[in-house]
Amino acid sequence: MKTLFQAIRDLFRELGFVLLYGLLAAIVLSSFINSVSGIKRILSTAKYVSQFKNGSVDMVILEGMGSYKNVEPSEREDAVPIDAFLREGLSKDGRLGGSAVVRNGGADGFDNVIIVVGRMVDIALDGVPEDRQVYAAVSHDLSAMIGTSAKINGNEFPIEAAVPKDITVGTLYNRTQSTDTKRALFLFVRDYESASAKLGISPQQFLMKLVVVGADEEYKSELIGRISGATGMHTRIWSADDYLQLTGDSGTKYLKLKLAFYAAASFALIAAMIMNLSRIIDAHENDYRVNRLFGATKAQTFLRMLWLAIGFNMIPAIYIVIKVMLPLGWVSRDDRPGEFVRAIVPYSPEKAAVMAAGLAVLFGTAAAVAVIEFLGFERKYSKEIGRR
Amino acid sequence: MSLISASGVSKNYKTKDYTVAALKETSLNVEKGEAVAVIGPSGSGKSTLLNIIGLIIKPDSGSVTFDGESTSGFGDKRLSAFRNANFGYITQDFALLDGETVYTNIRLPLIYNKSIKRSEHKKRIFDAAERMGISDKLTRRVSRLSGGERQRVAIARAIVCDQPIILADEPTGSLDAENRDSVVNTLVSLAHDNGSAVIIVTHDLSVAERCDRVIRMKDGTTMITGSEK
Repeated sequence: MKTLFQAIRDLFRELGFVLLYGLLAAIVLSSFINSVSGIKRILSTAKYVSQFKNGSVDMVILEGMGSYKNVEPSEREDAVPIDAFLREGLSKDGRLGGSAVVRNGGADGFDNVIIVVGRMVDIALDGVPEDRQVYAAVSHDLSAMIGTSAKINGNEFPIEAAVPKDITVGTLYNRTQSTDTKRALFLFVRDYESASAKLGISPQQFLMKLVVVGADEEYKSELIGRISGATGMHTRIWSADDYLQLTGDSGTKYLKLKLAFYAAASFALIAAMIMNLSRIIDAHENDYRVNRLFGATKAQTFLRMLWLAIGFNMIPAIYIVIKVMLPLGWVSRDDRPGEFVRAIVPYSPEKAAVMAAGLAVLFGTAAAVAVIEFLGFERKYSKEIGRR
Repeated sequence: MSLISASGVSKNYKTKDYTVAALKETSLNVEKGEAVAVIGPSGSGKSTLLNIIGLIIKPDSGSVTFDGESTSGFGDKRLSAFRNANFGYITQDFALLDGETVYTNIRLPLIYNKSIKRSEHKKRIFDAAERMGISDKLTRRVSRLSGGERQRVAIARAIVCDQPIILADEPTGSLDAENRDSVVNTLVSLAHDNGSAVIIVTHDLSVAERCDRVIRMKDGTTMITGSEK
């Protein structure tokens, strides 16, 4: 206790630096922890890009205002109607895939019903059985519902699994927002044609998240022509390479930059902590020397330095502990879908692990500084402790 | 039996390229109530001898005994407690806690002393300060005191636990003539009136000649022992 009180006094003498460092450390750590989800997004994007590249998956992009009309362009009277074209494309042997989010208003416990059709099924989720007409799964947060069934459009679907928390059911440029994948029922349908009656959803609803797999140029041209003609919207087809080239993948680049910034800030923070702690311990060297002279043991002297080093990191530590105990976040309201309120949202295991690692690095570094400073002190004064 | 005795102590300081023999089989005995001056040129081993006697550094060979008890097997914890209970250190730079008050500085040995009750601290601090004539300055920060006053704080701290041995390394080195005489008088009276063993390392012959015995050192050995009066 004696050494603890001495260290607290030492810290109070350096209050300005302790507060400044503490606040900076809390801000940097907190920002770093919050940006950890960016790592997942970067990894997920990289996985998506390689998946799209390897599987020759191209994205259908619709731009501008328009309206869907199931009529044929006058110059293409010989062609099948757009609905029929999409139905065929989304069928078992077709080249199209898509997903659509249908708002369910919380009925039966689901805010959204997410329908994934055609070639999008294997992009979104591994292991969907080949023989299943409709494979129903729930979002990660509703895993307790596995084994029950869900009734949609008058049809009952047995819930067989829960999808991974980070499931993405969209294209590279148009990814489903994370809120859509919570409290959701997922219906995976390889053959849209055979299940369309059960789903009660028209093929037009897949247009905003439509992909085409392994298609030749002729098919792509036909697809563009048909969609443009039917919707009046400018339609393009992008490969993953086109997407990266044209967008520069700015979202991922921003996240990478942000992570690099916080990583650099964290290194700077650790360096600042090491330098400050060394300076403070050096500034108190005379105190340690005089105390050693009049009865402080080596252990007491080391403990005093260690308490000081640990105390120096108390502000960020307390801040992180409070954040862990009171992790406030924005969640959607059950009674009013689309509105958000502040509520306690437990940290993900990744964030909790980063927090624990952050604290371990801070305290570990601080303890290492205390050990090094103590050894230096003992080496210096073991010769002539009575003299400066 | 001598209160403190160093016998045949040697100490070498090793650097990367060479070894300096700071002390060569030197012996020194000091009795209770005796004031001993150790003089000699710089580098002659005076401070090393004082640090070995004060159990601050360990000799490479030889032994230090206190009241007949050898201290060579003491671990750090026991050495620290032993230093606290038996030695009062006074140095040229005063070795004070500059940011603290006179009271806190004098109290320092008491906080590490387990045999003196906490309830006695205040009285002991006041008594020691009064003996040094600084009882009216107990709440002052030592950084605001003159050199003479600061050295009196150091002496008060050196006697607050009734330490039987006072080790003073150039105690008058930073003082003017008036304060020098006052500090030397105090140290000698601690030996004669209190029965303490006082060892003073000094360059100043006028300080040495006030002591009961003078040890002259040269090249790490004691050359002359005896009274210089």
